[in-house]
Amino acid sequence: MRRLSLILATALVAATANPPPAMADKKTDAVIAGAILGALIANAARKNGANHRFDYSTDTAFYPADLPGVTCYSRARTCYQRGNYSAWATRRVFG
Amino acid sequence: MTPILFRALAPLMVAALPVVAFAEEMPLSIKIDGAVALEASVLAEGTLNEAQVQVLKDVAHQKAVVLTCEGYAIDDTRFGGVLAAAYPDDAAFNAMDEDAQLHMRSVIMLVLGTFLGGNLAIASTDAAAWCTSAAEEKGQTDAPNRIWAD
Repeated sequence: MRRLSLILATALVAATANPPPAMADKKTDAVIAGAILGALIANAARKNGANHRFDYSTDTAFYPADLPGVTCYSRARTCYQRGNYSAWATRRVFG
Repeated sequence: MTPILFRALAPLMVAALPVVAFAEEMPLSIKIDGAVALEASVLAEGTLNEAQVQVLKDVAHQKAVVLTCEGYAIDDTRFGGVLAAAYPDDAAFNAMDEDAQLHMRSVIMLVLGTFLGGNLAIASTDAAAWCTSAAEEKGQTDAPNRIWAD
């Protein structure tokens, strides 16, 4: 099952046109997964108003002196390089 | 507003100016990224920890760059290793019942898809700037969760 999960995620990122052969007959799983996805999305819509971690309008921005062009946000613990997300700068600043 | 009241409030009004100016200047790309990260974190709540979500964010970001910028490809070996870190190890995963496994799989797919769609939206706002930032990021060979081919 873990292997199957990895295959599914790989399929999403690999952007292949067809599902992997291992999933061709997994209609039951697909139906259940669809129901789970629907529930997850519905729950997320109810909960996101209470989560302010990524509300940058109330976060504190700072500019690391040794990283020109980088803006970081304290509460979100995320950094951007010239306005675009930077995994490298985020790791460098927040560990 | 009376002169006395104005004089009393003037320092506060001036002090508030930089905050207002900053809020107006925040790039659209950062606003979108924050909104996407919020949705992803809510979807992952109770199923994935922060480190797992970070892996999915980094994977989706790099995939979006591959889809929108010239000169990028995914290294399958690196990708397999990085993505595996988003899952519990075999023993922990196999100890979960089938419903829990399916739930985790669904959450991972949804969070990954949310980040991927969000990153593609960000890229569409300014593709040239997006690809310039990606080139700078690719130059940092010690970046975490690297799945790009060299």
